[in-house]
Amino acid sequence: MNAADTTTCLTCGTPISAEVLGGKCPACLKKVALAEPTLPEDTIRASRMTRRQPSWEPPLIEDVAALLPRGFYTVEGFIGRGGMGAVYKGTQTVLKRPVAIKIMRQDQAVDAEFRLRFLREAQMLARLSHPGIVNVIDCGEAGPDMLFIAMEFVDGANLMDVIRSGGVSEARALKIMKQVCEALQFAHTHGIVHRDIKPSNIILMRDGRIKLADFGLATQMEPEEGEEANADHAAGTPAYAAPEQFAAGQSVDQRADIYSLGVMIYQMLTGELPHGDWKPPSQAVAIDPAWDKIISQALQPLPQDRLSAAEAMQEMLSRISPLSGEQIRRRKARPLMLAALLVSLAVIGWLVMGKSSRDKNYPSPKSWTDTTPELRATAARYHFGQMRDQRLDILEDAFFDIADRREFSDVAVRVTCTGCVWLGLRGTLNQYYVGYVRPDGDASISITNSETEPVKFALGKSHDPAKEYELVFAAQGGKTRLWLDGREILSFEDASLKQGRICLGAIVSPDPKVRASILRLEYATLGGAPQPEPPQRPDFKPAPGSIADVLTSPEFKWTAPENLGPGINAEGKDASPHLSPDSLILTFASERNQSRRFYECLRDHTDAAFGAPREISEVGGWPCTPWITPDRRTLVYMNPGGPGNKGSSQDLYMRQRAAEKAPWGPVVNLDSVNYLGHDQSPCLSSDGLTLYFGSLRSGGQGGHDMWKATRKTLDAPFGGITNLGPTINTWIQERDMHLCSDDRTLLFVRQHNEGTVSTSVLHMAVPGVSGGYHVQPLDVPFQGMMVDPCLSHDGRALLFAWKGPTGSGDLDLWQMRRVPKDEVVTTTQPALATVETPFANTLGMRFVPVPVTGGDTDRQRVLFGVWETRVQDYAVFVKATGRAWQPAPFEQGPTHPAVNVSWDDAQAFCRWLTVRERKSGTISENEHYRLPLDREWSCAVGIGELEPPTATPWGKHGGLPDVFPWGLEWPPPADAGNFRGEECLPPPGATPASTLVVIRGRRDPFIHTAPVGSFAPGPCGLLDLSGNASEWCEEWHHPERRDVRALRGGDHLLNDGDHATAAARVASPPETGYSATGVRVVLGQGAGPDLKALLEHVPAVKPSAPPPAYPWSAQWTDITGSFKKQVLDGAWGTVEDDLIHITTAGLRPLENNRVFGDVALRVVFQGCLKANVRCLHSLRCVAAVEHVTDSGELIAAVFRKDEKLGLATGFPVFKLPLGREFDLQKDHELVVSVVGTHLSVWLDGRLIHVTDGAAPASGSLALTFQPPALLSGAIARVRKVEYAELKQP
Amino acid sequence: MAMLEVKKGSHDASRARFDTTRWSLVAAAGCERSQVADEALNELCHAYWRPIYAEIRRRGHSTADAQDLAQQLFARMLRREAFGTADREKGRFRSFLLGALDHLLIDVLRSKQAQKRDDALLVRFVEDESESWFQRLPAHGVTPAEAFDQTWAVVLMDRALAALRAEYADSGREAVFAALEPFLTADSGEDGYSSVCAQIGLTPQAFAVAVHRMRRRFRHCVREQVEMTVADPSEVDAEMRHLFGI
Repeated sequence: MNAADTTTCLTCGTPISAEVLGGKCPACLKKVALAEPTLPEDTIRASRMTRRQPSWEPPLIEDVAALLPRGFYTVEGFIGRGGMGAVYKGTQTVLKRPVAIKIMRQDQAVDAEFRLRFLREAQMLARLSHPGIVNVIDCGEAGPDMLFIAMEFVDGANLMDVIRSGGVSEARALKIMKQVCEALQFAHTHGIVHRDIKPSNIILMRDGRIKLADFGLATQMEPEEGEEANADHAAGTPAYAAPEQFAAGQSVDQRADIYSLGVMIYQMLTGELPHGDWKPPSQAVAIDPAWDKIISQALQPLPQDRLSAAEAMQEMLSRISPLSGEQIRRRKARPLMLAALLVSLAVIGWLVMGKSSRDKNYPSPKSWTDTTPELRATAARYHFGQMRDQRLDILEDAFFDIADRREFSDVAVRVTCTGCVWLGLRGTLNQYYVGYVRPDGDASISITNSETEPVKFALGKSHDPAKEYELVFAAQGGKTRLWLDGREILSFEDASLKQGRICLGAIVSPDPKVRASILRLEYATLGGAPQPEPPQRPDFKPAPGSIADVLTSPEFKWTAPENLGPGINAEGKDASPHLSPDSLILTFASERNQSRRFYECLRDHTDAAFGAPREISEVGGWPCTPWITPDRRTLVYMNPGGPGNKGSSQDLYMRQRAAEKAPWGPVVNLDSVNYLGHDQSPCLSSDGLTLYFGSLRSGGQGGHDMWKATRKTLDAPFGGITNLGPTINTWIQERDMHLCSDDRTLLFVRQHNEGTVSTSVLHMAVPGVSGGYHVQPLDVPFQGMMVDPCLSHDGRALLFAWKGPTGSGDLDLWQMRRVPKDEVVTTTQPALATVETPFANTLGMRFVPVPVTGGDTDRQRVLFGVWETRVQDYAVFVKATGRAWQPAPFEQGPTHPAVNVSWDDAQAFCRWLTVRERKSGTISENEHYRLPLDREWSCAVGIGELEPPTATPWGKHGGLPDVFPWGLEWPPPADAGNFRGEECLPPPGATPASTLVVIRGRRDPFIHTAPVGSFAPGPCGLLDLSGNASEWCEEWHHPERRDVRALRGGDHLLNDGDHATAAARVASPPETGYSATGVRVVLGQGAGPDLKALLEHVPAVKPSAPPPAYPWSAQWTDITGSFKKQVLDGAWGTVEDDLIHITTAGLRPLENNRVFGDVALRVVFQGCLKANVRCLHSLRCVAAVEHVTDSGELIAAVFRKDEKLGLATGFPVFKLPLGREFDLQKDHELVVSVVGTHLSVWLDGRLIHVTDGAAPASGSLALTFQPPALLSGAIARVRKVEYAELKQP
Repeated sequence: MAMLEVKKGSHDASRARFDTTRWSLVAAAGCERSQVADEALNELCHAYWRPIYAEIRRRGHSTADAQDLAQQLFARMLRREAFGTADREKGRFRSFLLGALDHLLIDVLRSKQAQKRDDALLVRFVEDESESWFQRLPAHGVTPAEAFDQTWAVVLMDRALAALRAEYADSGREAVFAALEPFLTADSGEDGYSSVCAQIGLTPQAFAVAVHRMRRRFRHCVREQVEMTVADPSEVDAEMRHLFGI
């Protein structure tokens, strides 16, 4: 060996050679290869602080199979997981034995020592063979990161689940523990410590045997230095682990297991873990005190003080004898009312005997009242049951009150049923006394009380809950008894139980054979005075026209609940509505803007929707339930946290003011009324002198009651606080009262059936003649929790707060109206509109959906106005915008159709209406008002399917010569519509003889226009489709001649059959209207045209200057040729097939230095993505057509203001979506004209922009293009460019 | 020396690697020759001829004879002649090879007949290299029995190092590897770190962590190499302990 080549390793002295391993010391390298090197301490800590512990995801079943030794196991399913491990179900392939395979992540920080230990212990465990220990079949490595253990698969539940699901009885605990101790002792004797004793590691098999699982192997992973063992990590599960398992360096022996046993026993018996200063179990639960000693000896913190052997514990256990009857009663800390409860047990060896044999105390009243129908109705209403044959199957755990508040000394209830059904008494203090039959393995009867656990009496297996049985529960003479199939099995006395409700409940059993199913439910009074019938006194008759009458009369019906809409409801809670007497002012409390305030909304008439809410008064704290007197001078409300508040309760406050519009006076705490408790829902009589309110104060019937207080004058304090009495107040919660406008009738909500099915029922209380109230529930078609009901003055509208199915998602304001039973009800939301319930907007215009097929709005939701726009509707628009409108040359009433409306007027009206309605929240940003499309109109009149789908109105005119809107007959029948009939002729004999052409043989009552809706409706429920006024459609009448629009529907001037057909169209210029042109508005989907700019921009057209007309008479000079030359010369693009393809951007001046006021530019082009065809009238203003979306579906015409040159008119940028009809590949025409002071832009003949005033004085015509290269598929092609000199009008 | 292909994602635990390791393929194939098994065997022989050569030399044969005998051994291996007998040792290539060598040497002793060289033999010797390498093996303090295993371990670690280097190179961190490599074994403490830290731009803390990581990766690479030479995953640990657990 060459001595010069060798050196020795500095660390270990081994000779190393440069050629071998690159000069590294083989010995040291081996060390590295085998062991995990450690980092210096602080590096470890530093790196751990920044490192995030990834959570470990158990591998998929397939991956586990791959990790295990091939061919030995198949992995079939996933059983569960813990922090560092997961258990899978599998099969040992060769032996076909079911196994549980547990894999555990082996921490890479642990060295080979750990694996050695693990293996050794696994080997020892494999040698342990004991019936109480889960056998280990195999173990090893699963991949480089994991260990696996294959164990016998044990079918059973683990103790943790059993503890959680209901506790373990003393006897059962004993049985389990004895087996655990025995198994554990066996292991200890063989030198194995479990180290992770806990309930989830004890498996209970069906035959009562137990198995200990997860021996010793789960706990090898010791915590890394400096890290604490987290709950799922090593050293056992902390809750059950002995103290020494946490201390590093301490040895852990079998006594650690004993400790864990102690914790586990404690948990089994008491349901809780022994924390800190834990109570001996016999103090928490009724068990043999001998358990205490065992547990305390096991839970000694120091191992040397501790019970040291499992068999010692076993011995101690054998000295415990459980209480007979397997009862465990849990004692809570608080002493209970049930001190007086004496339970007498009458459980004997129970035999089911025939129902005919009944014992002597079995109740035998004169008659049983069958309340099964009510039960069925309630079950149907709250969806907890359904009928099957003659029985009511209970689908959901539920209970319901059988009969109203009763004194218990006189009533019996009988139910005939199967399954687990219970009868009970529900006391005023929420005690429950229940007898029931359980569906589980042991049939038992129990008495339970909300304060205590059930007292169970096992009936043994002799009662079969799957068979029909009869249960009777009777309270008589202070004694309460339970009979099963005629035999008394239970009775008790309780001095505190005086009154409450009888209730019935059912529990759904997981076992389908033991279905809870009720055949019959009856109750009866026993002795004593006959109880009054359910609340409705047959002699109560509400005074006709009274509130009570409106609310209860069958002549009225309730409409479905309607959300008041997003205009009023905000995302937070909106509640406590209050209406002024005229129903035009709505006051409510809202939690929007992170605070609760009062808001007020106004509307013009009761048909309209409310305007936007505005805050009315700065009231600190969290005020709610406002109430304002009719003169609007006194406000009372509730406010927790207001000034002078007594404690943390809710107090009532008042503010007054001198007049309706005056500012509110100071906040006054009604402390003569308020008490240290909850006062709520204040209501004032109209004179402000009587205050009604709800309160929890004592002195009433218990729970929330209704009270009143009075004062002599408006300045005096309230006094004379009195409870409204037992006729209205019960021990059930009465809340949210409302004083009706007659200052007498009260509405309030009673909360029913607390527990499984909880709902509110609206009640009405009318003061009786002899004091007291007549109370009855109102049959309102409402389900759920109604809050703060408020009735309008006339009783026709009920407002309330509800967390309903639609709306903001939280409490919203809703309304239900009381309408004559035949009335057509409108809805305030377009989405809910149907033909029966039209949508009504703020003007009161009504809309119904019309099914549209074909055309551009195929299958879209299109709502047609039911009527032609009325004079009263159009007048609002005219007044608001100052639009010119010539009155009709004849007299018209407010509900006559508006005429002298041009197409342009109609468009403006639609846009104005859209803006207005969007502001008021009745329509969304995705809906807009417009004119009907020709196709849609055809659908509305019923000929949609009959016309060719693609032809223009002009093309379709004259088709279907025999089809009229009303049918096939001519002349039209009497109720068809308003036409020019014989009524228009002058009286006979007048001179000169009339040459007026009318429809002969027909007359209708109206010479000119008629009020809308005077005639029979058309097929979709629309009125006056035929006659009265003609209706503009959206499109051009003729595809080439962009000068006239289409009118449909005939009008009052109609006098011939040809123009009366359903398919007839009349062509008319859009800018003029005449005495028969009107507009029917449609609510369509989509955002519609950009309205802000248009509206702000289109001024009221003064009558003297007609709007610019499309320059269809212009003499166009074709400059396409010179443009083409320009393009080719400048290499801006190419020419193909008569089309100029523009490929580069730029400004292309066409003609220079014009004086404007006289020119139009026309370009025929094929639009494309992001190509601007700009027609410049000057450098200072630009009209552009811009394709906005990649899919090319939207095109906009844009005006831009050039800031640099400072144009005064300030054209805003807007976008005009033109819809799908704009085909990129087809020719389109853009015309820009400047005439006088008008700058107008037409796209495909449709006027899309007009500006007035301050038109530029001079400039040049030009075209500009943007490079299309930015977007794929972009094209910009020009076919023709022309300009024309226009004559001034 | 044969370069290994660096297995990307070789630290991905969920991949079942035993199917593709060399010896397991061969062992599974047994006496049957298949292309896959042949290739696997080839590669293994490529990798581990040095220990064999060293062993033969250690047993006292001359250089020329050692080369010859090594060739013969591999020829036998490739012809699967050795496979019928050494079933018990089939779990590990190292022990199998050693066993086969024993048998060969005994045969040679008996028959004194040199077997024909197989033309298809893929194992080539670079004569000078093997001898000089043998000369440089640490030769003292080791019993003859242990010597073979020592050599084997060295070869294996060498391959692991190469794989590790390739790993770092793959992620563009050759410089890092070069800087860290000296510290793979040395626990010279953090004093030595500072100058190097400056070189590759890490703080001493980060450097210590990087070294720690490299060592861990090295261990993985070593383990991978061991896996290639055992037939069953359960053998890996035992083999590791045998080779490196001095």
